[in-house]
Amino acid sequence: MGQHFDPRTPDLDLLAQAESGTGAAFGEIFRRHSDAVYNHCFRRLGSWSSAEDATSLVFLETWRGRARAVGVDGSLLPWLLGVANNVVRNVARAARRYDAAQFRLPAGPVEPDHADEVASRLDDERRMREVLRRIATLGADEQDVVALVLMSGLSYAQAAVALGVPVGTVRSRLSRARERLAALERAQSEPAQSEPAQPDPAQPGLVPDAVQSRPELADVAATPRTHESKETR
Amino acid sequence: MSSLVDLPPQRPLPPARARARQALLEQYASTPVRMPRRRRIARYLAVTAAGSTLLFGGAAAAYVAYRPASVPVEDQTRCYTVASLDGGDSDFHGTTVGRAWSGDGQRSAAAAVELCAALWQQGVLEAGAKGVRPPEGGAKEVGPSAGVVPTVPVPPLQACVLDNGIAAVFPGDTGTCARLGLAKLAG
Repeated sequence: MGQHFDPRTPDLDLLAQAESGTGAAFGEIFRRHSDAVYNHCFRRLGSWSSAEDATSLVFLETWRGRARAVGVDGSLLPWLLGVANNVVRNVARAARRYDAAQFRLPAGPVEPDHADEVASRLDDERRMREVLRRIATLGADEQDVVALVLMSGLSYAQAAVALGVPVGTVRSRLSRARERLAALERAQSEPAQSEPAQPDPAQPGLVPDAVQSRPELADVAATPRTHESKETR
Repeated sequence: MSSLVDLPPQRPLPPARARARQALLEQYASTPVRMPRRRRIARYLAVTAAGSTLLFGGAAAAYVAYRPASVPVEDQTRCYTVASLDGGDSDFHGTTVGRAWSGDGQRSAAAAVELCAALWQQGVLEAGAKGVRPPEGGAKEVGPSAGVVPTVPVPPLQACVLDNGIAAVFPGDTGTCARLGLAKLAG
């Protein structure tokens, strides 16, 4: 951690340095991309603490499969997010490859934990679980594309590298996902309009308060742009 | 779908925990990997062939080409949890971490101490323990209601050089290296 690297050094060069015995070079890759991986894992798992452990697993798995790593414009981030998709699908299986001590830290907080921060993170998790409940209606492949492109902002080309599929496949999966989510949105809004006084108790939160109070959000299914990359659209 | 435009904000990994995880990853990446059995056999055969070459060809350089690669000692730093060399190289009290370089590319005492201090702060190292502290080890619970206690106290640390050239950071005072019969690490 004491070694400094030129920020212009491509990730793949750092990986090569790490391969030749400079462990700090792999640490530099972690320093560059850990936050992005952390947030991507959170969006797949809905838990900040699980996302933290998953982040370490992503890098351990990347090290294990480094011979197959692919860079995009010198960056390993798309590849890392692709590994993250696989890790979050089965965190336990990935964890078994390594000693617990290799990726888990003592559970005690070591950062100043302010009540506001704790409350915000709990609110994040509640909101994220709501999003995940909606996305769960999609197939696994479509969920992967939605997470990479719509949530983590990868371009179609970067998502193609992350998933190891052609760009056209990314495009079609995303299109299908948008259609299905839009159909779900319509299916939920129609009963809500016809029977406004009888919400379905079996599906709490499927029509968030924010949407009910903001009609302009009802149409976003067709154009979810907020977290989308501007590249290669 | 509307929820997709209302994702929770991005947050950074808690900095101190990120540093500790980075240190563990660097240690993991610095550890020579034991080759799979089939590759070991293939390597054994290759080395045997190389030996024959040596015998019959007398080419000593072949040995150099085929000798096992190892991580240079300059790339390693050990963080000891006691001021003792008990346990030798394989079972010592502490753990091995990645490089401890200063910004100018030179190995330095300050960088080595900083690296190990970060592990002490995280509670990853514990006085007298071998290896890193296991997750079930009962980390101190420090909740928001208990007041802010962000780190574990770090003992005074001294950076020395082992006989094999590896940097070693011990808890102790300025005379620790001398008492252990070791040279101080410069810088």
